[in-house]
Amino acid sequence: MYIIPMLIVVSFVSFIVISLPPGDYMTTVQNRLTSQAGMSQDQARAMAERMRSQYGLDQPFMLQYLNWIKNIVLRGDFGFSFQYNRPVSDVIWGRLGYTFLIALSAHIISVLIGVVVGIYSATHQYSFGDNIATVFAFIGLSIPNFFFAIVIMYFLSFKLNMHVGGLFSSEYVFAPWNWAKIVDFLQHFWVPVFVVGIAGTAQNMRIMRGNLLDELQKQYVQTARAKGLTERVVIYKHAVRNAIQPLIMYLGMSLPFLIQGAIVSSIVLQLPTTGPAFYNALLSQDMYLAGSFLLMLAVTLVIGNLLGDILLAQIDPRVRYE
Amino acid sequence: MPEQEKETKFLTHKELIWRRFKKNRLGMLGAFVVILLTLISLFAPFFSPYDHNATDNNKAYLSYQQIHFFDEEGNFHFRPFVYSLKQEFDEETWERVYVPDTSEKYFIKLFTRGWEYELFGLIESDLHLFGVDEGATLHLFGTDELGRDLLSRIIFGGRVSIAIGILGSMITAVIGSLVGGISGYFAGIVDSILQRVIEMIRMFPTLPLMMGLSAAIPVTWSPVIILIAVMFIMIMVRWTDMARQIRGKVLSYRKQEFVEAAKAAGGGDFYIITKHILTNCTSHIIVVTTLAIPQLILAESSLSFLGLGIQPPMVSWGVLLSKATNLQTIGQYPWIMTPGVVILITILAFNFLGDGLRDAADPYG
Amino acid sequence: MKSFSKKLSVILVLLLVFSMSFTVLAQDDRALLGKLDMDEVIQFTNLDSYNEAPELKEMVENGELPPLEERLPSTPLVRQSETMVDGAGIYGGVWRDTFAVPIDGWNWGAGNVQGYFGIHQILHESPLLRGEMWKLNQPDPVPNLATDWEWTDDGKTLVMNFIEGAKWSDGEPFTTEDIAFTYNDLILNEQITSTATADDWTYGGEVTELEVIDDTTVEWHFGAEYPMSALSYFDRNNFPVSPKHVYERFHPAYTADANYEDYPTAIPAHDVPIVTMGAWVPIRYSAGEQLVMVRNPYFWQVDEAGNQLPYMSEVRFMEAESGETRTNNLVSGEGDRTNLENPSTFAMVRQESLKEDSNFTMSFGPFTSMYRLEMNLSKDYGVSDDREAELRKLFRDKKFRQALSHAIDKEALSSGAFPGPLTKEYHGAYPDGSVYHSDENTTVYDYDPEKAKTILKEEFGFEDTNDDGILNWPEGTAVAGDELIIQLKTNEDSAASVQASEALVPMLREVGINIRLQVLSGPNNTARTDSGDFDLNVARNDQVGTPYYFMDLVGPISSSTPGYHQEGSENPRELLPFEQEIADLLQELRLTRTAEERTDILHEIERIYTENIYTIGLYQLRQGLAINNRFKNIPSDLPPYLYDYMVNAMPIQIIWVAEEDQYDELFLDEIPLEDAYSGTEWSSK
Repeated sequence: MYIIPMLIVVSFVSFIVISLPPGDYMTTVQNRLTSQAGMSQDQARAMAERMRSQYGLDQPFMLQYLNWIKNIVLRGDFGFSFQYNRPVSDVIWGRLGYTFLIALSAHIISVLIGVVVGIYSATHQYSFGDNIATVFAFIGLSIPNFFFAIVIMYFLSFKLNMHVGGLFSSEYVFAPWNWAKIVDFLQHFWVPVFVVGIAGTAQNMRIMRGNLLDELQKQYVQTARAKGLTERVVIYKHAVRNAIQPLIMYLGMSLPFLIQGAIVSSIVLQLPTTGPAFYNALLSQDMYLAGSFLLMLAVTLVIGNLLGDILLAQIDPRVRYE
Repeated sequence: MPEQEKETKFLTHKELIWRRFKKNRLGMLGAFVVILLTLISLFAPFFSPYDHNATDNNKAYLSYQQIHFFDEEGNFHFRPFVYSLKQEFDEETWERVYVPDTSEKYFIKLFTRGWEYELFGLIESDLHLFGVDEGATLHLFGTDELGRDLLSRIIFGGRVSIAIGILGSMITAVIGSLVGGISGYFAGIVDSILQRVIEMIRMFPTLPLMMGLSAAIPVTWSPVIILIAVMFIMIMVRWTDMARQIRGKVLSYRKQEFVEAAKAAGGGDFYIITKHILTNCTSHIIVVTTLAIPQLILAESSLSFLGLGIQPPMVSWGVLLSKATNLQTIGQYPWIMTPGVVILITILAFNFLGDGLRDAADPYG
Repeated sequence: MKSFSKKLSVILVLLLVFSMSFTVLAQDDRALLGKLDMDEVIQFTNLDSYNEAPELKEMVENGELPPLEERLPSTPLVRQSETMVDGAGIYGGVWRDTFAVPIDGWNWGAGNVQGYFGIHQILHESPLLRGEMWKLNQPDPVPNLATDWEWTDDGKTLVMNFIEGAKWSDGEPFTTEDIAFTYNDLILNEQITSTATADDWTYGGEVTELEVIDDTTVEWHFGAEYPMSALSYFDRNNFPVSPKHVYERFHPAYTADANYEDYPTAIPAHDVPIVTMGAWVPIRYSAGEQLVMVRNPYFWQVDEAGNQLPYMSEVRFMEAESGETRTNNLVSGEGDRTNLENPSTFAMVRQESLKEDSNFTMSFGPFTSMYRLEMNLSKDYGVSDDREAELRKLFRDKKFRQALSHAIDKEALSSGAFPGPLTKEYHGAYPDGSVYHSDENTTVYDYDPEKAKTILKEEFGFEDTNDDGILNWPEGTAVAGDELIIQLKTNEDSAASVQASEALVPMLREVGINIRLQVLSGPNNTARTDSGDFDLNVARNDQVGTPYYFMDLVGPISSSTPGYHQEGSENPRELLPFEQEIADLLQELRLTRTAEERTDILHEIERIYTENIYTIGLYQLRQGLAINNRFKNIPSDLPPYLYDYMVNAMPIQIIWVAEEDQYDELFLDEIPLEDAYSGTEWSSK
C-alpha cells in the first residue's frame, strides 16, 4: 500500500520542519552553561563548539537525515536525544506510557459519563437537569484546553491549597505499589484526565442525546411500547443499543485527538508525558527527538484511522462496499 | 362574497433557511454575539478606552475597576462614577495597593475624546465609546504588569484572533472547495493523486505539525509577516477537511442530470464546477466554514500561548494568555485570565451560529 | 559639682556606647558576611575522637563497613564552629529540593550535566572552593581537597598539597593521580570536551604543566610570574575531579579498546550508584521524576567535635519541567527551598510566608543581580545592511550612548519590576552589593529626556521630517531620511528581562526612537548574540559583582568577549580607546598578587566603564532565598549567589534538623556498599 512511501515523506518533512529554526542543540547547551553553570561566555562557547563536531551536528543536512532513517529502518534506533543524553527510544517509550494512560482513561471516562448523561438528558428532555447538562456540554466543547488547565490549576492551588503538578508526591516516587501509593497517584492523576476528557465528555453527551432522541421518534419504539414492553426495556434494550452504534464507530478515531489534547494540557500541568518533551525538543532543536515524536504521532494517527475503518466495516456492512 | 383565495407563496431556498434559523434561539444568540464581536473588532480603537500599547507604571496590575453608584455619604447617583487611584506600596504584603481619592467623582461618559487613532489608515479621530476625564482612569478589566489596559488589549487581540479565524476559514474554504470540486468532478487519476496528497497531509496530527512549522518562523520577520505566516500554516494544515467533504458531495452530484445538461450546452469544466456543482453545496460550505472559525481561533490561541504563533508586540488572545501560565501570576492577579473567558464566549457564539445554520440548512441530516 | 557631673556624663556616655555595642553584637551573631578569617572557616587537624551517624555505626557493627577511623583521612577537613550559627548538629533528616534540567549522565569530566539546581555543588569536589568566600574578611578561595599551597620564589611554580588518606565513596583512595587524570587526560585533552581547556591554563604563551611529586603533592609550572587568576580555575566550575579508577577503563589513553566517541556517555543517568567525593551519593534516579542521594560513608569532613559530616542523611531532588516549580513546591510544602530571582514572584512568596501555617522564611541578600542594556559596539561583525552599519557608528559614539542613557527612566523600570526596596536603579559597572563598587567611581547619566532629545538633534542632526513622532536619519548618512528603527532583543525565559524590554519601548519612543522588540527563545537568543546579529540586547546577570572571576562580563578579555563587542571572522576588531584601556587593565588584573592591587584596578575599570557608558545599567535587585524553617545553621545573611550558589555557600553539609522536625528517611538501608557499585553497568565494563 501507499503507507510506506508516505511514512518516508512524513519522516522527511518532520526532519525538515525540525531543523528549520536557526542554530542547533548546542546553542541550547551553551545557553545553559552560562546561565546555570556560571561559566564565562568564552568557555561556554568553546565547549559548545567542541560538542557540536563531536555529535556530528556540523554535517550537511541530507547526511544527517539519511543516517537517521538508516538507523530507524535497520536497527530500530531513532537517534540520540541531546537533551536527555539517551537514545530517543528510551525517552519516548517512558513518556508514551503515561500519555496513553491519560488519553485512554480520559477516553473511557468521557464515553462512560457522556453516554450516561446523554441518556438521562434525552429521556428527561427539557427538564432542569437536561438544561444544565446541555449548558455544561456547550462550555466543555468550547473551552480551550490549555485555558481549562490553567483555571483548574488556579482553583486547586489557590482555592483548595492542593499541590498541583507531577504524577506523584515526592515520597511515593520510588515506593512500591501499595495502597497509599495508588491513592497518591489517583490524587494527581485525575486532574489531567479531567482536563483532557472534558471536551470528549461534552461531545459524547451531545451525540448520545441527539441520537437517542432520534431513535425515540422512530417507528419501532412506538411498536415496542404498543406491545406492552416496559419503558425501561424499550429505552435500554432497543433505543440505546441503536443510538450508541455511531458512537462506537468513531471510538478508534478519536484517540489520536485525545493524545493531542493531552499535549497542550500536560505542558501547562507540567507532567512527565510526551507533550512537554515534544515542546522542549522543538524549542531546543533536539531534532531527533522532535522528529521522532512527530513521526510517532503520525503513525498513531494512521493506526487509529485504520482501526476505526476496520471497526466501521465490521459494524456497518453498508460501508464495506465503499 | 368571493372566496378569499389563499395565496400560495413560494419561498426561495434561502428564505426557507432563514425562517428555520430564526426559530433556533441559540443560533440567533450566537449570530448576535458574532456580529457584535465583528463590529468591535472592526472598530477596535473606537471601543478601546486606551491605546493597547500605552504603558503606565503607576497603574500596574490594577484589578477590575470599581464602579460606584453610591458615594461616600451614601447618596445614590444615577450615573456611575469612579475615583482616582493612587499607587502605594504595602510594607507587609509587598503588594501594590491602590488607594481611592474620594474627594472627587469622575463620571463615566459616553462618546468621549481620548487617545488619537487612525481608523483603517484613513480616518483620523479621537472619539471613543466611553471613558472618564483626565485625572482618573477607567480600566474595566484591570491592567497588566506594565499598566496597559486589559480591555483594550483584549479588543485589539480579538481583532487579530477573529481576523485569523474568519479570513483563515474563508481562504481554507476557497482552497478546499476548489480542490475538492476538481477532485470529485474529474475523478480518476486526478482524484487519486489529490486524495493521496490529502491523506499525506492528514497523516500528521494537526497541532504538533503546526507547532513544528511555527517553531521554524524566523523571529526577525516583522509581526505582520509572522501573522501571515501563521495563518498560512493553519490554512495549509486544515484545507483538507473541506476538500474531503466537498469531494464527497461532488461525487454524488456529477452524475446528475443538470451536469449532463450543462455539458451538453457546451459549458467548460471549470465553469460547471464553480457555477453549478459548488453552488449546490453553498449552504454546506457556509456551515463548515462557520464551524471552522472557532477551530482556527482555538488553534491560533494554542500556538501563540505556547509562544509559537503571534509574537509580541502584536497581541492576540493567545499571546495575552501566555502570561497566565505562571501559577504565581494568576494567584496574585487572577484577572489576567480574562482573555480565556472571552475566547470561550467567542467560540460558544460561533458554535451556536454554526449549529443553527446547519440545522436550518439541512434539518434532516 | 562640675567635675562630678562631668564624670557622670562620661560614665553615662561610656555605658551608652557599651550597651549599644552589646546590642549590635548580640543582634547579628547569625550574620557571617565578611566576618571570618580562613582558619575560622576550616582547618585540617587531627582530632582525638570521631563520631558517625547511627545508621553507619550499625553497618560497622554488622561488618558491612570498615570502622570510622579507617574511612576518614588521617587529617580530615574540620569545619569550624564559627561557621555554625546554631551550633553542632545532630544526625538525621531529609533535604527535599527540585531541579528542572535533565541529567545527561554522570561523567562530569566530559561535560555531562547533572541537572544543576544544587546537584552539581553536592557532587563535584575540586581542589579549591569559592562557595564560602563570602564569609571571609579577606575573600580568597577556600581550601577543599587542596589543603595548602605556596608559590616558589620565582613565582612560576605553585606547590600544592592535597588531603591525605581521603577516600572516594566506594572506599578507593583519593590521590593526586585523580588530579593528574582530571588535568592531563580530561582538561588538556582536546578530544574530550571538559570543563576547561588548555587555553584557560595558558600563561605567558605556555600551557601550564602539572608535575606529580607524590600521593599528596603536586607542582604547577606556569609560563608567567604569579598568575594569580589561575587560582580561580581550581573551583568546582572548572576543576571537578573525576575518579581515575572508574574512568580509566573508558579512556583510550589507558584502555586499548576504548574510544573517545563513547567516553562522554560512559555512565548514563540511570546507572547509579556512582563514585563521588561529595557528601551524598546518588542511589536512585527515575528520569523525569526524582533523584535520591544518601550519605557518603567515606565523606572526609567532620565538625569540631569530630562528628563525621553531613548531618542530614538523605537528599531528594524532584525533577520538574520548569524552574518555577521549585518555588511552587516550596510554597505547597513539597520542597524545602527556592531561590527568589524573579521580582514578579517576590510579593506572592512574601504573602505565603505571612500565612499562619507557612513553614518557610525568606531572606534577601545584597544587591548582586542586575539588568543592563548592551549596545553592539562591533564595527562590522554581524552587519548585513546600511542601516546596521550606520547604527554601529552611532553606538560607537559616546554621545549617542549618553543620549540613550538619558532617555531611560531607570527608577520606573526598577519600581515596575518591584515597587519596594528590593530593586533600585543601576548605573554602575558593578551592582551596589559588590565590594568593588563605589559611587564615587560611577558616572551617572540620569533620566532626562529633554537632554536626550537635544543631543540627538544637535550632536547628530536627527529630525522628525515627516512628523510621525519618529526621528529620521540626517543627510550624510547612508540611510538618510529613513526612520530611526533599532532592534532590541532579549531572552524569553527571563520574565523580568522581557518586562524591562517592553517598558523600554515607550520610553525610547518618547525621544523619537522606534524600538522593534524581539523576545527570543533561549537558544535563538544565544545564536543571535554569537553571530553578532543584534542592535540592542537586554541581559540579566548575577556574576558581575565578582568581576575578578568573570572578567568577560566587564571587558575584552578575549576575542569573543564581551558579547556586545566580538571579533568577527573577517576583519580584526577595532576596540574603542577606552576599551583598550580596560583590556590592558584586565591583563594586569590576571597577574595581580594582592587584594589591594585587585581592588585598585577594578575601581579604575569601573571609572572608565561608567564614564564611557560601556553598557547602560537598568536596574539591580537583591536576590532572595526562601528556606523551610526547620533547618539549622543557616546564616541570617546567606546570599543566594555570591561567588557561588547557596548550596556551597551554606555549605549544605553542616545543615541539620532538630529531631522532632525531621522527615522520615526512606532509603537508609541503601547506603551503597561494594556490591551496589559492582552491580552497576559501568563497573563491569
